[in-house]
Amino acid sequence: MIIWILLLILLILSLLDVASAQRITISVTNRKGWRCTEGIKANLPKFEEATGIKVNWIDIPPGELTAKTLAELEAKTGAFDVIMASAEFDLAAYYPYLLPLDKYIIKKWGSVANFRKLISAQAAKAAVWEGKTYYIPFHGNAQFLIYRRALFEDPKERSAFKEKFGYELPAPPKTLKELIDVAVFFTRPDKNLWGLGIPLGGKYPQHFLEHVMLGAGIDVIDLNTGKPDFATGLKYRRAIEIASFLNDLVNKYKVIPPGAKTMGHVEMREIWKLGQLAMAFSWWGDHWDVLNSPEFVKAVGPVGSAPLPQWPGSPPSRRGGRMSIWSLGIVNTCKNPDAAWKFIEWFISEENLETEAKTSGAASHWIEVDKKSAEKGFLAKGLVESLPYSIPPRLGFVKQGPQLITAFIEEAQSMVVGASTPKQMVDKLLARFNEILK
Amino acid sequence: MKILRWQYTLFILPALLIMLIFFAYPVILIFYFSFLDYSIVRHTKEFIGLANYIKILQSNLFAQTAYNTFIWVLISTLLPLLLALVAALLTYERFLGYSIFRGLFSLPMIFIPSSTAILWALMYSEPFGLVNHLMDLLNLPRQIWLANPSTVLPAVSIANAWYGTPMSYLMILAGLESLSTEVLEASEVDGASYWQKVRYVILPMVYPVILLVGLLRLIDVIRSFALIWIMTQGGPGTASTTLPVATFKVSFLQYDYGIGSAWGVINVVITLIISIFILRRQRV
Amino acid sequence: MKFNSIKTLLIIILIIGLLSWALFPIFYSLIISLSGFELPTKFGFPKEITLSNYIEALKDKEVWNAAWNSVLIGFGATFISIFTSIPAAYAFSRSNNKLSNFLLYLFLFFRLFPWVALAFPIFYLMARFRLVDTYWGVSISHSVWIIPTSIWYLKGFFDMAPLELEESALVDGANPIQVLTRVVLPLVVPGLIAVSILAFIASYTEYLYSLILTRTHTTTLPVLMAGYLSEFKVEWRKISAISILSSIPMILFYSYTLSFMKRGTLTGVIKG
Repeated sequence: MIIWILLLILLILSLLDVASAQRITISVTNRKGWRCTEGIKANLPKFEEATGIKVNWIDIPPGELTAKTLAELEAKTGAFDVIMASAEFDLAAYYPYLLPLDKYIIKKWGSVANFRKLISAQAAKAAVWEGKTYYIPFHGNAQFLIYRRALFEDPKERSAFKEKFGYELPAPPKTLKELIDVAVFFTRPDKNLWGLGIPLGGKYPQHFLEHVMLGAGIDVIDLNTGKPDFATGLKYRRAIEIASFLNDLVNKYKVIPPGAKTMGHVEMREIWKLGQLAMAFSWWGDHWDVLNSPEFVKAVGPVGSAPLPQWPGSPPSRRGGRMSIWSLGIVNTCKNPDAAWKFIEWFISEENLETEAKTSGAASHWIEVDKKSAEKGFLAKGLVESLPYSIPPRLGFVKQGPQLITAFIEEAQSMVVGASTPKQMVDKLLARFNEILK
Repeated sequence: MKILRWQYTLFILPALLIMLIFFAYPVILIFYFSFLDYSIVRHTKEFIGLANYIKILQSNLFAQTAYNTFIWVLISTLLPLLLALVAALLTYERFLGYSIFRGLFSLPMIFIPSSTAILWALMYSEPFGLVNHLMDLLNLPRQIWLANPSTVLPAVSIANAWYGTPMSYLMILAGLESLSTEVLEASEVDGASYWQKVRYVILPMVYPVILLVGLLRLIDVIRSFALIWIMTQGGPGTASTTLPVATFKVSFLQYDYGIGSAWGVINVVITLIISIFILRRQRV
Repeated sequence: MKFNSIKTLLIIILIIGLLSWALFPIFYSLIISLSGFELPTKFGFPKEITLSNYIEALKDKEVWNAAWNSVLIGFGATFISIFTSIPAAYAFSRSNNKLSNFLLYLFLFFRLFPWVALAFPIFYLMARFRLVDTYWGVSISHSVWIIPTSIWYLKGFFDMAPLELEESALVDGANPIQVLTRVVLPLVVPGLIAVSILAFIASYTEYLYSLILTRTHTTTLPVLMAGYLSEFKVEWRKISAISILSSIPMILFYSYTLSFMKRGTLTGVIKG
């Protein structure tokens, strides 16, 4: 009997959560395994030492981040103090649960207008909701093209290309036609070499489609009417053409490695390292340092980068395609908003943002920092050329964003794996969007 | 038998209390939520009657999900049953190395569902997976098993069948070993061949056990969620979305708790009807 | 029985086939977890055999944390479910009135319920009780599914225990709780161990509720491992190593089930 009681006590003791209540603790969400914040995470002890604030850094797998954050915010569990939000889908969904930051911004920068001058115009737009500022940006990125310079400069390849297509091998391709030619040229399945690596697992086909659509002047959701803007006319036809373009890359030209259908950009990077790709398109801003590391350069040679060629006949101001804006916000149930603000201030300090650029290759939307990072060569040419001419997805600016993106991802996946044709995909997408936005 | 009085019902209380708070109350909640337009992205929470159910039953997703669930249950129930039966028939006679075979054949049991998912995702992966290496050896074209709408469901079901075979095997083996040896010996004296013996003596005798094992497995499989979710998240598109996956996805990825709860209720009703139907016939 | 050589050959082929079906995925995962730098893109053994993936997995604090959480939550769930199931199963075994029969069928009904349907309401409820991401919260959510099963199994064991001792103890003036703890429980210790193992394993393998009720503090192994698959499939070597390491506690279940088989009572238990 005594043993049982002892066991019981032991169990209760072990199950009790021994929280360190002495120090102010703030809980911060993070996309687990994200290379862009790893460097900042490593700097955390400095912040904790300097301020005495303990940071509870909560790593959530990327696929669960929105679901978990929203559920906890809705249930008012007070589990998170500072949350990470993205212009891809959740800015509009989160802000009703967040604290307006104008008070802090005025204290730090004098006025909100001053703050907005320091960050990129798109990030400044994304930060403000109903006249109040809720978000502070820390990360800006865009998908771009990378290519193996050694392969493109090989005289044998160049002459073979010219013989076959009648013009010089462009490094990098400037139009989509050239892109297809080059990809077809380098696709040699028997030698395990593929022309163009685009990750197509999970959410990635949607990322590609949205990139090209935004670049072609299709907003996907028109923020003035709150409805899809590709329902009729030219934009409808163009949406189908863009979907067909991806479909052709996969199924007609077959320039994408077949395994890509289950891959994300991390895996595509490994395929790159195996030397199986001539070009690749994805979020290389997350991996630019690795792609240039001695290990990679030794394996596949130096890497070149460029924006993806724009859809013909589209506004040049949009030639960058789709950008991401990741921001921080403070939850309105936060018990120590001052401490949370201190954390944000530290998070976006120049040192941290430069660390981010250096350890991943991503920009920050802070104009001065990005300029310096570009000068120091932390950022890829492809990113620097894309970012100013790209816009964030509109899905993040409507409150049904998280729901819309789930539908978009499903339909894009279905098309890539051949379960629907491009036209069917666009039609289904419109039907689902209208249903959700009703 | 009846030596105890009604007071003993009090003994049930602790268990009942936990079940009431953490089971019965959530059950009431899903019924309640299923009548609401309850979405946290639209910030709504109002009564709309049966609209959620009507929406689900009219949607294409429901038909597809029902079909997917059927295929999933079919493969992951029948395949392990078949393999387990063959293995049990081979081994119940305790040949040399019987216990080694039994131990090795039951080995998949030591994995947890997440490991199984990892194991099989690796098996199916391109270009590293063993399945595609085997396709090379057989001179067949490589496949992207988990990204092809026509292969994804069988592929995941086979992984589930692999995981479920050992348990079915051990149960059928137990059933076979409990058969009376007299009948078997009698049939041998009669000069029946091996196949005749299996066909006319053993199978009819273990038939109830096989049926029981199969039905218990069916009840398990129709509710199972982890393996399919971890491996494919119901994708590509909705090609491997089964009833539990759809229920989870609508709640947690589309943030529509009203429709999600209605899916939950439909899931409950279908599972319970099938289970109770089976159990009443079986009188387990 | 007589076998001619063709039959023997056929049987050997069948046995090899069945064993490769069961073992190839494990074998392949083992090879990957032991391989060096490059993964094989063609069939064949890795050029280099190394334990470094296991070492890397064992150095990972996240893995240890998750393993510790899994074990702790497993014990918690076992504890809660066993200590509530024992009296309940005993009462069901010894009383035979309408109420208790009704309750018994209610518990059978619980056992058949699809778990996923309750995922959201359970989260909602746990959030109200401030139990999200706590050991108690996750343990309770697991034990909700374990209790009905445990009661069914334990009732079977109590039914098998002889009644004479209990009757004489009651005549001697012992109260029901004393009868249960002093007289009946010692008789069903083997059954208790079996049910505890099954309860622990049920909690250890549980994925869905752990997924929705944990953040990072109480993340369990199944959730951690599933997370690897969603985004970081490149680390095949490391995650194969972790998936093999994670099955160590399952050996308990495995050896127990096999030894149970020897006694030929498995179907009895499964039937409940």
